[in-house]
Amino acid sequence: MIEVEHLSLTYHSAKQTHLAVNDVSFTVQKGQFYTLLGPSGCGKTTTLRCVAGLERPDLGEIRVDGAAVSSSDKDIWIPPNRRSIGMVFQSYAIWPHMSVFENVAFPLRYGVKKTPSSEIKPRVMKALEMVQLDHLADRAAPHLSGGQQQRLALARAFVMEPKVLLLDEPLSNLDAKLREEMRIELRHLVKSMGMTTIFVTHEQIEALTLSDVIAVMKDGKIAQEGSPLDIYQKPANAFVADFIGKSNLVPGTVTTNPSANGMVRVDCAWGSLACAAPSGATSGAIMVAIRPEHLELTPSGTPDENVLQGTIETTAFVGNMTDCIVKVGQHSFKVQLHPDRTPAVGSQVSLYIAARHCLAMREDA
Amino acid sequence: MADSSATGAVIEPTAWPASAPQQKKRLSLRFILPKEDPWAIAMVVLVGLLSLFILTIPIIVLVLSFRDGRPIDPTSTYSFMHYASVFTDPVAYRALLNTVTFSLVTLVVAFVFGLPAAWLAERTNLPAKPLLYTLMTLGILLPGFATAMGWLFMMHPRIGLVNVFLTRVVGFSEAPFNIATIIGMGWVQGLSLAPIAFIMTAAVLKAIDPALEESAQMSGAHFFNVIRKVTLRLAWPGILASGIYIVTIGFASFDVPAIIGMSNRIFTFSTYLLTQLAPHDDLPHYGKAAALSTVVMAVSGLLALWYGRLQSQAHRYQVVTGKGYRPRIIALRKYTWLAWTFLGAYFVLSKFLPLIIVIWASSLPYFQLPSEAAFKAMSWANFLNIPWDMMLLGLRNTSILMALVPTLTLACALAFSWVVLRSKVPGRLAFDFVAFLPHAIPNIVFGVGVLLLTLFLLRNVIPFYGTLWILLFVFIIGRISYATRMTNSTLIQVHRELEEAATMSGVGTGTIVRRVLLPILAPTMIYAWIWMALLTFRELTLAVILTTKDNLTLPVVVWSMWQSGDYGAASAITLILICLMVPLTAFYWWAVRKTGIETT
Repeated sequence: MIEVEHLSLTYHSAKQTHLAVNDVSFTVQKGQFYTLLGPSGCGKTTTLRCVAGLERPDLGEIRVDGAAVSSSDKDIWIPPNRRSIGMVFQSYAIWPHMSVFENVAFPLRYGVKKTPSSEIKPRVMKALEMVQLDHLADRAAPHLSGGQQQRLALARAFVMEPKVLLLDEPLSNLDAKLREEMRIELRHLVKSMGMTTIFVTHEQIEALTLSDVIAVMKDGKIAQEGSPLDIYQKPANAFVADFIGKSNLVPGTVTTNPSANGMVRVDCAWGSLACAAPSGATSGAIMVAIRPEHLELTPSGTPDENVLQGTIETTAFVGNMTDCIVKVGQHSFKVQLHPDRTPAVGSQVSLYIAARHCLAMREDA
Repeated sequence: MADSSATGAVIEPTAWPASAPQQKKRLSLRFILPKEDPWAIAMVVLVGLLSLFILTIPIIVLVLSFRDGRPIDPTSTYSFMHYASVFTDPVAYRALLNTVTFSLVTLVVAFVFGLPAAWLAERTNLPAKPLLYTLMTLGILLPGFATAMGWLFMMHPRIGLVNVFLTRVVGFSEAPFNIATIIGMGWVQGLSLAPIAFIMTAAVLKAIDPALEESAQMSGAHFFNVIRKVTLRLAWPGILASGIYIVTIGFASFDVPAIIGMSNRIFTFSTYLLTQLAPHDDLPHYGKAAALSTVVMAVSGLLALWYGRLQSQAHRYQVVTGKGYRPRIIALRKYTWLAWTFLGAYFVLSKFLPLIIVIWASSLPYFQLPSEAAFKAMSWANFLNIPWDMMLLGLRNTSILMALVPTLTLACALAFSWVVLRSKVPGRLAFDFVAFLPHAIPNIVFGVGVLLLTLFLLRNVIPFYGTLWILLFVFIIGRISYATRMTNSTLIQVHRELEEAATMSGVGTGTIVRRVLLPILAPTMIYAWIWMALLTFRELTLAVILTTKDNLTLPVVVWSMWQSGDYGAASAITLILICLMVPLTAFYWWAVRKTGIETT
C-alpha cells in the first residue's frame, strides 16, 4: 500500500520557481494498478520520483506499507536505495556494458539486501522466464530489441521482489503495434505478481486499459480520481472531459433545480438542454460536455428535446467513421458519424444528444 | 485544489491552504549527502579541498606580489615595489614585450600550417587522411625541447649546420640565419603548436552544414569566394577560439625560449621568471616573480574571458550545430601532390629534421658539419657518459609521476564531474569554474604559487618542498582542466536514468561509480589516461620551477645537461626519452583506433 499525503514540490531555477506538485494526496491499495495520467508538465513524473526518493518533496508525507519513507513534518528521509521499490524508466536504463543476466543480477549482487550467491542464478532465471527472456540470458544487453529491453527492465525491477513497482512511461518508446502488445502483457505480469503499482503516462488509452484507478493530473494537482469507467463517463470537470477522449465544451447556466433523476436544464447560447450532472454541478455557470460520438443524426423535428440544428462544415474520412465539424450558431461541434450516413458539406442537419450524455460540470477542478 | 463537492472524485477534503506553499525549498543535508553514502561524501570533500587549493594558489601569488621584503617576514608591508621593479627593469620589461611578439609569431606560424591542413583533411578528397591525423596527433608528443635543440643545431649563428654550410662552403660572408631571435623562437614554437590549430579547426569545419556552402555556389559565387565569404566566416568563432588558446600557450611556453633563447640572453616571460626564482649570482627574487606572474595572470585571465565570451556566443551561429554532416568534399585532382608536398614539408620541418639533427648531435663529441672527420668521430660516447645515477633517479621519478598523475587526475576529475553534473550540492556549478582555472591561468603561475606556498607557508608544517609529492600535486592541478573537460563531456552523454536505475536497485554512489559509471566511461578514461601520461612524461616547465636535486625528472636531467653546455649528453638523453615514449605512443594510437575518439 502506498499513501501520499499533501505532497508539494517546487523547482527553483535562477529565473523562476515552478510549483511542480501542489498538495497531492492519494492512496494506492495493495495490489492495485494506479495510474497518474496527464499532459506533460502536469507533475505526474515528479510525483512518481518523489515516491521513488529521486526527488525530495518540500512538504508532505509518503508511506509504503504504513511506514513513512519521507515526511516533512516528522523529518523522515529514507534514501531511494533503501526503499526497496522497483522502478522501470522511460529509457529502460539498461546497462549497456552488462549481459542480460548481469543486468537482472545487479540488484541481488550489490543491492542493500545482499542475496546469497547460490540464490542469485535461480532468482534471475525465474525473473527472466517471467518476461520470456530466459533464452537470451547471455546476450549483451544492447543487442536486444526495444520490446525486449523493456521486458528486461521489468525483470530487473521484479527480481528484488519489491513492495512497490513504479513505471515511468514505460511504453512510450515502443512503436505503436508493440506498444499495444506490451500493454496487455504488462498488466498481466504485474497482476500475476500481485504488485502494488504506480504507472505514469500521458496516453489516455494506456491509462484506460491498464488501470484499476486513474488520477488525472493538471498543473501539479489531481483533477479527478476514479475508475477508468468513471473517468470516461463521468468526468468531474471540463479539463478531464476534454483530456480523456474528446469533448465538445459549451458554456451554459443551470436554470432549474435537479429533478428526481438528477437532471437539470441548462441555458446555452442557442437554447436549452436537458443535462445530467453527475459531478454535482447543479447551479450557476457551468460547462456542458458532449462527446463527438454521442451526437446522432435525426430526421428533422423528432424528438423535440436536445436537438441542435446546424450546417456540416468539414468532413474527414478516417476509416471506421467520419470526423465532422458541424456549425451550430457560433459554435463548432466535433461530431463522429458513420461513413455511410455522412451528409455532404454544406447540408443542414439535426443532431440529437441523449440527456444522459449531456454532462453539466464545473470548468475547473 | 479539487472541488470537494465533485461527487465523481474521491479526493479527501483537506484543510491545506489552496494557494501555493510559499516556503523555500528545504534541502536537508540528508537528502544532498545521505550519511549511508560515504562515497558521495568522500567525493564532495575531495572536490572541495582541491578547489580550495586551486583557488588559494593564485591568491598567494597575488598577495605575495604586494609584500615587500621577505614574504614571510612580519615586518614587511604591502606596496607596489615589485611591480615597479618589473616595469622599470629594462630586462623584465623587455621580456614581457618579447613574450607578446613571440606569442603572435607562434600564432601566425601555427595558423599558416594548421588551418590549410585542417581544410585539406575535412573538405577535400586528400588521400591518406588517417595518416595525416595520426601524424598530427602524434606530432604533439615530440617534446618541445627536442625540436628546439634540433633547430638550434641547424640555425645557430655560430655552430648551426645551415649557417656553417652557407658561410664555409657556399661562401656567405656572415651567417644568414639566426634562430636565436624572437621571430626564430616563434617559428619553432609555431611549428610545434600547428597540430593544435589543426585539431581545433578541423572539428569546427566538420560541424558546418555543407548546404550553406552549396547554396553560395549555386548563387554563382567563385570557389575562393565561397571559402572566404562562407566557410571562413562560419568557422571564424572556432578559429578565433583556437587562436586565443594558442596565444595563451605561447605566452607561458618554456621549452623553446629556454633551449634557444636563454643561453643567448633573450628572455620571454617564463624564462625570465626562472632567472628570478633561481638566479646564478643572487638570492631569489620571489616578490618580483610573484609580480611578474600576476601580470601574466591578468593578461591570460582577460584572454580566457574573451575565449569564454566567444564560446557562449557560438550558439548565435546556429548553423554550426555540431551535428554530424556529410561534408562537401572538394576534389583536389592534379593538386594532390601539391597538398601532400605542403603537408610533407611541415612534417619534415617540424619533426623529421630536428629529430635527425638531434641524433647526429648525440653521436658526436662536439657539434660539427657532416664530414669524413665527423663520421670518424661518431661514437656511443655520449650515451656511455650519461650521468647514470641522475638519469636513473630521473627515470624513477618520471615513472612514478607517469603512473600516478593520470590516475589521480582522472579520479579527481570524475569526482568533479559527478559533483557538478550529478550531485545535489548547492552551488555545484562553481566547482566547474574552479576546475577550469588551471586552463585559464598558465601552469607556470601555479608552479610559482605552489613554490611560494611550500617554501614560505607550509615549510614548517609539511616539508613538501623538494619532494616528488609537490610535483605530483602541481601536475595534477595542471591537468585537471583537461581531465574534467573529458569526464564532463562523456558523463553528460550518459543517460541519468542509468544511474537512477542502479539507485532503485538498492546500491549507493560507490557501487554506481564502480559498477555503472566507470565501465561505461572506460574508453574515454583510457584515452585520457594515456594522453596525460605522455604529457607528464615530457613535462619540463613545471618540473624546472619546482625541482631540486632529489625530485628531478627525466626532462629536467636533459635541461641541466643542456644548461651545463653538454649538448651531446643532452641530445643522447633526449633520444632515450623519445625511445621510451614509443611504446606508450603506440598504445595511445591503438586506444584512439579502438575507441574511435578523436576527430578521425
